[in-house]
Amino acid sequence: MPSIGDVGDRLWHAHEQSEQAAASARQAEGAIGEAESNLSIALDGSSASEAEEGLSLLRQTRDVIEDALRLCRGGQDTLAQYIASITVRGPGGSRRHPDGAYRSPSGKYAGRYGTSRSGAEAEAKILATLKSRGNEVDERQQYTTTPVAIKGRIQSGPRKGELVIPPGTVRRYDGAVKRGAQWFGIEVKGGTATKTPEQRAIDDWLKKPGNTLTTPDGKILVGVREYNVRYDDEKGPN
Amino acid sequence: MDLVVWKEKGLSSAEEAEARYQRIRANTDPMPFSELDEQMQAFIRDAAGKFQEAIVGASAEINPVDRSFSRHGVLLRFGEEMNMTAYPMTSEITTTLDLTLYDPEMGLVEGYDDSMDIEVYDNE
Repeated sequence: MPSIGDVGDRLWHAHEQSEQAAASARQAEGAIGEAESNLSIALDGSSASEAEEGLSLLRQTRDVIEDALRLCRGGQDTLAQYIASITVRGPGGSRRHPDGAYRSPSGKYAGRYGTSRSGAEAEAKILATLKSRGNEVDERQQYTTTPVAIKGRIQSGPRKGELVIPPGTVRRYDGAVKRGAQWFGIEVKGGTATKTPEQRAIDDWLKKPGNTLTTPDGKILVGVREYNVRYDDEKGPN
Repeated sequence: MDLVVWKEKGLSSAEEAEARYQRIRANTDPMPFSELDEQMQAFIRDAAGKFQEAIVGASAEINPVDRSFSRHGVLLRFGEEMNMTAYPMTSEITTTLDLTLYDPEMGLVEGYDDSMDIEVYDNE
């Protein structure tokens, strides 16, 4: 099992690589822009249709580069948050993630103190149960990023005050379930699981009409369904 | 199979849901339809349009709006032939109306936990 120092070193290395990738993407973007400018100048010497086609291709390429740059920035932010929040607790090597939840190295919820296997077991049981009852379910973890800043206020408790969640914040769901023609993120609760204010704020934002989160495979999530399951500490979920 | 529906703030644990299910089965604290929470009335009306015979407390001959229901929630009882359709059909309604759904056989509670005291502002 790697030491805390090893994990930290690896994360910093990944962070540096991400920054280099972002820098490369910006250079490529600049090069594309320059080529686009040159092509525009060359329009006089080419047929109009050829030049327009070439320009269109350049613009498409620029869009691809911009998407890559956005992903790089998102990756940088995620890595920076991980580095800032890394805490290894329990024998399973679980740690606190940017959205406030403790998860095992494989991404499964690891209980309030990061030591429980109950989250993974509850998740598997709930997904299997939903399918056995005829629900259309995507059992894969669903990674989404907030498209805009989400602002709100925690009205009471130790964290009372304004809440700001930057765009590009990762929100991971345990799966997705279809209700009618729409997809909803699955949030599994088991044992001692509780939602962080950040998770709750993102999910409340998602519930508002018109707001959506998009998964990597293009699913449009319009809300969240949460699940509790009968759970026994000794035996696991029923 | 039984499914149970109710309105609540927060989301019951599986143990709390089971206790509520038992109270509903015993039909404690019956209330006339007109005194139920608006969302529960909407659920019963919608469910009656899709599977009225499954609503315990109603029947094919009697409109659910003329019956009483437990103040703790509504019990649905489906035949085996609906084992693969009852849950998705019911949860489509409960999702729209923000209600909690409990499957006693599986010990599964579905809903949305809105108990945290947080206000999210509209998009700027």
